[in-house]
Amino acid sequence: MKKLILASAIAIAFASPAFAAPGNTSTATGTATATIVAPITLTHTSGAALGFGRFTTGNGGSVTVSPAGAGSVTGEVTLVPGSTNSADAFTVAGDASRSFSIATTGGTVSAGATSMPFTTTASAASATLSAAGTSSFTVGGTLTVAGTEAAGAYTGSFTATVTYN
Amino acid sequence: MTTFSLRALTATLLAALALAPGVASAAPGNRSSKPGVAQATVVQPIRIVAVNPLRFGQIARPSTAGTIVMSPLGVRTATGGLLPSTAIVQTIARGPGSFTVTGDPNRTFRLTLPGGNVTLRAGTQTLRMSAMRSSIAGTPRLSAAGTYAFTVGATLNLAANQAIGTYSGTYTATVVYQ
Repeated sequence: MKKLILASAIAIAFASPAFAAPGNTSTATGTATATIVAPITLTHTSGAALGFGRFTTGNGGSVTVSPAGAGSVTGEVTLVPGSTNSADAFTVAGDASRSFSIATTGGTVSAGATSMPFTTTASAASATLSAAGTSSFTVGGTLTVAGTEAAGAYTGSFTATVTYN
Repeated sequence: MTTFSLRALTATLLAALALAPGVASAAPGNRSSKPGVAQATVVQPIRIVAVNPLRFGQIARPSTAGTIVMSPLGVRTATGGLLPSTAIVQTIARGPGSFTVTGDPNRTFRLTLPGGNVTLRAGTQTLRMSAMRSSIAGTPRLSAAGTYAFTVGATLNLAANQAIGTYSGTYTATVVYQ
């Protein structure tokens, strides 16, 4: 009888921790993820420029260059024979198939103390990078001519910015 | 006549036994029994299950080092000028990790998360995750239905020009009955 009781006690002593451990605690494996994508980079195409061409001012007007590079004038501004117009060009690199927005500022072109203001228009307000992670766009603009500017070569700059959507 | 009386007596005794069985048990005199109390409560084992991964989402590679914190409630904050990097369009949902715990109704438990760094990997590249914390405030208690849900956030530590890639890693969440 004593032996039997002892055997039971041992069985309980061994059994108890085995039961407690699985039921009293539990562990799960969580996962954490993060994806680093290529940053967006903008490059000005070498040699490209927003060219308003060669013109006479008359009593003023404007010269508009479309993002496709076609020139047109208003007012008394007249493009001289042989004048060419051009749109500016940029390339974009970044994460494949990601969309981005394009913003361009206006600016002024100047020669000495004289300047003329211009606005710009990009070929698109937003675009999507190709499967290879590349894209491009062009920029046209409108130059305002007062009619009092001296003859000369006027130059200036503007800023283009691309941002991931 | 005598026989009849004995039968009547037997009937009376049987009636007494039926009414007071305790007295009948005590009758032998050399033994006494009292009801004892033995109690055993088997409770539901505690169990934790991972539901959603902790998803920091897509981040444009930063040129400077910085951190991104995903709070247990899914709010993102960034240092080192990284906020624009995380403001990009996400093609998959991001958010805190989530878990559910089941077990004994109304019982309290304790959660343990990694106290140090967890390494996320993309091939040979590594990304350090730290400061894991949960949405639990105070002592968590399983509901009357025996369930509890909580979320987990952490801090992601990006190096300058952190290599492009999809990083992932694992961590353990352990719950113990209190």
